[in-house]
Amino acid sequence: MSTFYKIETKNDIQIITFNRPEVYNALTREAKLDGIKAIREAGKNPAVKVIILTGEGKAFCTGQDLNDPTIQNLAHIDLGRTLETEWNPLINTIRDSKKIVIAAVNGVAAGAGVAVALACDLIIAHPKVNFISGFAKVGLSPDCGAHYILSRHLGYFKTMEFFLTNRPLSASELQSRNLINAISENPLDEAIKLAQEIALSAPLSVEFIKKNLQQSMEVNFAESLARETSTQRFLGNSSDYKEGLKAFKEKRPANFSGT
Amino acid sequence: MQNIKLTQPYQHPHIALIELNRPKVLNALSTELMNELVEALLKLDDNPEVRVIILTGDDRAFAAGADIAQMVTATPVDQIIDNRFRSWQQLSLITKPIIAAVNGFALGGGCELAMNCDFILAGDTAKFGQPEISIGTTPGAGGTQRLTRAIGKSKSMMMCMTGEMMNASEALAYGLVAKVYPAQTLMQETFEVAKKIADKAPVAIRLIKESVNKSFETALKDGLDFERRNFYLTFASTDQKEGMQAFLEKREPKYTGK
Repeated sequence: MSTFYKIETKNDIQIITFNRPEVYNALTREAKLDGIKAIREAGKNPAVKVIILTGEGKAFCTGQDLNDPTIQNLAHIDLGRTLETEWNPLINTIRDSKKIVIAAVNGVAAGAGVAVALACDLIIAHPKVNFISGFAKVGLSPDCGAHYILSRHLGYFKTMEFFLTNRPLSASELQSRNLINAISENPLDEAIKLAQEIALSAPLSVEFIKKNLQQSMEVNFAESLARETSTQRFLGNSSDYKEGLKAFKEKRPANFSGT
Repeated sequence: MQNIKLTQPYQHPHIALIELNRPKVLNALSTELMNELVEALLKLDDNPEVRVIILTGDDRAFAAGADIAQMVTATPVDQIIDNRFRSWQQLSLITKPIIAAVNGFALGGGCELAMNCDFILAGDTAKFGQPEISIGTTPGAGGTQRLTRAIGKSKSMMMCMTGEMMNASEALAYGLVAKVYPAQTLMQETFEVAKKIADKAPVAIRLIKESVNKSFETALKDGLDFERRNFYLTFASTDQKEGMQAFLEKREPKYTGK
């Protein structure tokens, strides 16, 4: 069991909590690799339907732990490798997970921590939450997909302002830009409520909705249409579709098996 | 046959499915597996009922290369005696269409086997590569030749020299694969594609395979001559008469394979 995370299961929801409050949940190499493992295991566990990511203490996640010795040795530094072997796999693990990942953003998200929240499928934030970029203040530029996601939601000019200055994006700004789903005094409770609703949907539907929506943001209309068609052909033969139809006719909640 | 599974998906009379079946070793292509595969393919090629063959692996891997355990201490003489590429050469004897359906890894011999098929359909989890350089050797079953023809010199050189893999969307962009589907739906979509081909005139399908493959072996002028002769040849088939008649009568053709 990793010391970097608290992992608890509530019914079919797995809550993974960044647990380094003393450093505002900044992540070392080990912490990232353990996080990847935790999310993968939750993804493979058939008892888990939804994953919630949250942070212990005042912060959600503040990105790279700048005290990690692996990024200190300036003679042999390769931050590209840090991204290729640690951060990008973490981001991809969240985005590629078959399970929905909800970010319950309890406090500040900074640097790559912003991108970790944005890699999730749904985001609930505390009203006092700020997103801070910070990269340009340490001589780096944003990473972990921040350009891709933020430019699509904030637009070019607002993203520029966010990346170039130290001005934070507040919870209310994030909400007005549709970058988060909701603001809540208790984001974890709100995330659990949302997760419980998602857990009632057919698992294969959930899985394909996540994949196909991600794909639709990257491809043209024809490709998105083709994928929808392929998905529907497949799901039409699933036993959950039969059960869904039957439950609909019998006016009862469906009992899905995920097949 | 232990290393492959031969089935008829959805009980379709004209479509055969071969699954590589060494899941514990990501379907590594042992000499035995390749011999079984070729034996099965030759039988299917002779079976008049079969019109299309689908070759696939499992969710994790199409095939992750040759069986390294079999080769690690081999000498050149061992390899000559083992003659493991004989089965690979026999793949080119198959005249019916073979579709590779690739989910997960198609690496080294796995990539070469996929490229030996007539076209590749990929799930979005597919990864292609020739990583032989990472274990001190080179592709040996057509990797440097077929990959170069499929994706061009620069990309092929880089892949073979670095051992880096390409993902499904990259493979689609480079024309290595014909189409990409969500991984879970790949087999069903492959079957739909196979069905379309199985509904066409079988002799003409074989001639198309022959003509397209000829384009890699000849100058354009000779290839065009070859194609024209195959075109004329289709007019000796009853299926050509049926196809054109059905078109004029605005009905679906009924092909007999003659």
